[in-house]
Amino acid sequence: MQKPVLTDQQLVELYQQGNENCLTILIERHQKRIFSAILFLVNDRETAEDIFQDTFVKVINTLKRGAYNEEGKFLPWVLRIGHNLVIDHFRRNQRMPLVHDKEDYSIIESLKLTDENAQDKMMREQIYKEVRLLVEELPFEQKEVVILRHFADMSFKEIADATGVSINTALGRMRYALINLRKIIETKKLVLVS
Amino acid sequence: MNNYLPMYDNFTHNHLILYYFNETDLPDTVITQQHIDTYPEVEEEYDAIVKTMEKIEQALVSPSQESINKILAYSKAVSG
Repeated sequence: MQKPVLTDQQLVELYQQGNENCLTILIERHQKRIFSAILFLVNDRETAEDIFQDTFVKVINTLKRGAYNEEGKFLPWVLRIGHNLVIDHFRRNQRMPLVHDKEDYSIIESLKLTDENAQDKMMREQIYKEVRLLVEELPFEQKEVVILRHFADMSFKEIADATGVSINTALGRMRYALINLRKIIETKKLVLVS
Repeated sequence: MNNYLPMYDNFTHNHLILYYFNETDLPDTVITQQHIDTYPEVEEEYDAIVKTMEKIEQALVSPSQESINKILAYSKAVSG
């Protein structure tokens, strides 16, 4: 008989009642999306590990205080905390990533393509690594909208409010992120294995 | 690149993006679905969005076990 799967909301409630194992399950369930979103934004593994930990310190403190009121939206809530910590990190270091004036900034022109062995490219790990690099190399504002919309499940209106731009600008950034990703994938001839 | 898809009045790439993320209202959902079903160029554009987003999913990575252990240790410590 299949065991019933607890929802995020049920796990949050049990954790708030003192069941520490529920936090382990929540982390296992969402760690990849949360960590990847942070890593894509900061482009540095060590910094991403620190911000990932800080994100969960905030999550834990909020849950323990009983201040969590995002019923049914645990992952988007955590990702919003992570995103805010990334922005804090850049502000603290006074190294906010360059925001390009033109929305149609082309990543292709800034990429240094290398001649890689075609057979190596077929290896799953290598492919994953390359795709990760593609996302990491997008301009910050394009990565940001992809992560907030796709990973954090924020609407374009919410993204526009959170990033201080119009909805059309947020949509334009998503559009050019998709165009840039397609160009890179085609240029690098990436064939991903499902 | 022109935001408008050729020949289709007021139909833009933004419609496809909003449709993919389930943010179109009912009239726009119907219009977008009709365009995808009717025009091969639009269908191709939409397929490209779907495939690109699928590739992002394939790029997900895990944090270190050390980070997870630190988080769990912190949680236990503050639960007293």
